Amino acid sequence: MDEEMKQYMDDMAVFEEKYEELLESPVYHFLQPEKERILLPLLSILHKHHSFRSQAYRLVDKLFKWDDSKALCNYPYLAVRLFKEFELKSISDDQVYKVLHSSGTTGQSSKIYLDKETAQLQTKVLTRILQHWLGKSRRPMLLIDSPHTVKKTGGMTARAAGLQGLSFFGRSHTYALDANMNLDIDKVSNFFEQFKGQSVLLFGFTFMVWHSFIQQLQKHNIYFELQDSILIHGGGWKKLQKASVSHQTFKQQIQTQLGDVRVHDYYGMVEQTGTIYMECEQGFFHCPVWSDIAIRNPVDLSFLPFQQVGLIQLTSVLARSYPGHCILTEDLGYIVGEDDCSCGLKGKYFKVSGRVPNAEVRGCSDTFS
Amino acid sequence: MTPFPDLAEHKDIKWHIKAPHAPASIKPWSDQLILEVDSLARFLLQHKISKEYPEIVALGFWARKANLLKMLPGQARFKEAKKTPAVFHVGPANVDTVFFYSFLLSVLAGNQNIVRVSNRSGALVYQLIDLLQGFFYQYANSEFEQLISIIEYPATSTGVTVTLSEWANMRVIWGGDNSIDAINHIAPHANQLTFPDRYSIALMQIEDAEQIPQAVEAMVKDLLPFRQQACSSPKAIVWWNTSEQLQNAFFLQLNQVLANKENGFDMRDQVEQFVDCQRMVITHKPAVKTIEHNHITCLDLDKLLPDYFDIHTGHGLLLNIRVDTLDSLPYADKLQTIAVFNIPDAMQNELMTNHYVKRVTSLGKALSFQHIWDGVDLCEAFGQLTC
Repeated sequence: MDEEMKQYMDDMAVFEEKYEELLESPVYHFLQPEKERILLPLLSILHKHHSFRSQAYRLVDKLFKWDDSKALCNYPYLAVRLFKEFELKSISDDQVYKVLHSSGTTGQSSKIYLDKETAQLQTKVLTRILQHWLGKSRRPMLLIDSPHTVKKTGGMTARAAGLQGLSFFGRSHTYALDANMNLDIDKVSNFFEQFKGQSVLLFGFTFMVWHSFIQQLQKHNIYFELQDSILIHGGGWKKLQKASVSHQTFKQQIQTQLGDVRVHDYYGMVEQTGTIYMECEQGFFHCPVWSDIAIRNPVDLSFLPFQQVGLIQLTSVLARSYPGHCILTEDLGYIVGEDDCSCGLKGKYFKVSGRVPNAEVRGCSDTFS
Repeated sequence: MTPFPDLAEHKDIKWHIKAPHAPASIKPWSDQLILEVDSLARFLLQHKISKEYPEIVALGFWARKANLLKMLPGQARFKEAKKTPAVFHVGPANVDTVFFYSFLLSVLAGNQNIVRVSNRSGALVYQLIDLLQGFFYQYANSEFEQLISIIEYPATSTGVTVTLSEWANMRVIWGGDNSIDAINHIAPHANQLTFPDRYSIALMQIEDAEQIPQAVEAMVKDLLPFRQQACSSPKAIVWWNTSEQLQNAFFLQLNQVLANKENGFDMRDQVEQFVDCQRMVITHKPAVKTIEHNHITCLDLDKLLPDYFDIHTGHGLLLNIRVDTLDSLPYADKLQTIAVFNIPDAMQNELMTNHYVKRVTSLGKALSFQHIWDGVDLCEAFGQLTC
């Protein structure tokens, strides 16, 4: 055990050193082979760390036959749903600094245990990613949500964490919705009036941006003439798909109501908070330097080639306090290519096409309801 | 006759089928009743909708006169009740058609039946109700019609559950442990048949490759209906006297056959298989030998314990072990069916007599309804009611 512990401490020391370097690396600069060369040793140590600290990860590891260090996405991966059912952490209880919850409205929510270090890392990395898109200046910021979302006590939801995390990148924060999630038209008009001619930042969850903001403006025939502004939105298209709103309609309608606004979707999940996948102007999500994506065939879990739709697997070297460095999501998507997106960013870029529908529940066992 | 329960004060009930009037005393297993159920069987088999639902075909096939006569209980067992006994059936929402079989047996026993279906019921339940309505329309004034009512109401309307339970001489609850607990909590009943959570397994021997296609065909029959979630669906394979090579060849062919099935396991199921395996190792820490993900997932283990089945949610996961002796099977109260393939009669008898297994049947017939279900002879249970 002492030997093992010593080896572990040595590994972690190496890790810290390389890590510092990586955190300062440019976000979308490395070609895929170079990126893998940088990430692999880190991931290998992270794998040992979680095997050492998390019994659940150690047990799940036994389900995989794999050879170390062949490829980034070859490391054992936890099913993302397990974070809803088990307390998965690689730290002791007294090291828990913050618990993040997914904001899922149905069923259980994921619980992600952060120590102070991991929480800081996540903030740092989110900052690095967003600065790439927003620059360092802080713009006046309109949040398409209610101030009450953040104020709610109890565990922190992913939505609140998102609002709080993003707030850092703006100033003069104004919430567009009231406590009942209705659009406060006067407040929004005043905001745009006050910062007329300036570049502003808008942020909100995709469905709310559409339903509570853009559609309301449309209904009341209200138009603004923003200039050189940016809207960042995320949280998924499921509800909009149901309402048959396409990405194109979404963008067009925003520009019709608001004027000159660049629109960026992002993909991300509470299990890998901090690592967000921003959409470039070509409409593709890009992996930042700290993470990678692979697509697996749902039938036999083998890797699928580019352009083929399958389960999205995410790898991130940021998950340290919980074994979320490799996760298999229930989202469907495909890799469009690597290193050659016409937007100029390097690494893999991808599209998300939906989510695996819930499996059919049948059979004899049931709840009386 | 037993007066019909008064549910006038309850607003959120819906009668899909309501018996026209309370029946006079009806003779159990009378020629007339058997004839009428046989007519229903023919009606179901001839209806074009049956082509879409193999479950309905199976039901129709089972309810034919020739098959019913095989179940005919000894006449001496019946006391002719002065009043018609009343039975309240609670079916599961994710219908297993199994409750339909049980109320038909209760009808044949001459009981008056009210069946509660959930407002979460699947398409198959409503299809069966439609067919039954169509049948009654064609065969008006049957004895059968007087004995069957189908009601839908939410579980939150506990008053309805209480009234129907008080009305009934016997209550039947399908739907497993959770449903039984919930209903007992609302209204205890002194005389009830309950069908709690169960799991089932397959015991197989393959001696040469020629037996494989037959074994695969039988396994597919038991695996696919209800997405492997019925209490009788085999959740594990226990191999006896079979080489590893033949086991692998079996799984290879099984996956090939499933790949070509239209209603085979799909992406939704495969995600569940994967999640179940991870859930299983974290919860029960079994010694895993190998795992093969394909149309089904085969999780090969060193041993098989009854607890493992708590984690198994169906969807095409097969646990896999080898045994040298029948002592190494996961016996427990919750073990219901062992579906056997190429297992000598002596061993099958041993399962029943030495290990008290509730049901041993041929692989491929695990889901066929038998009137002795879960160790309970339903004909006898429904036939002995008095009031």
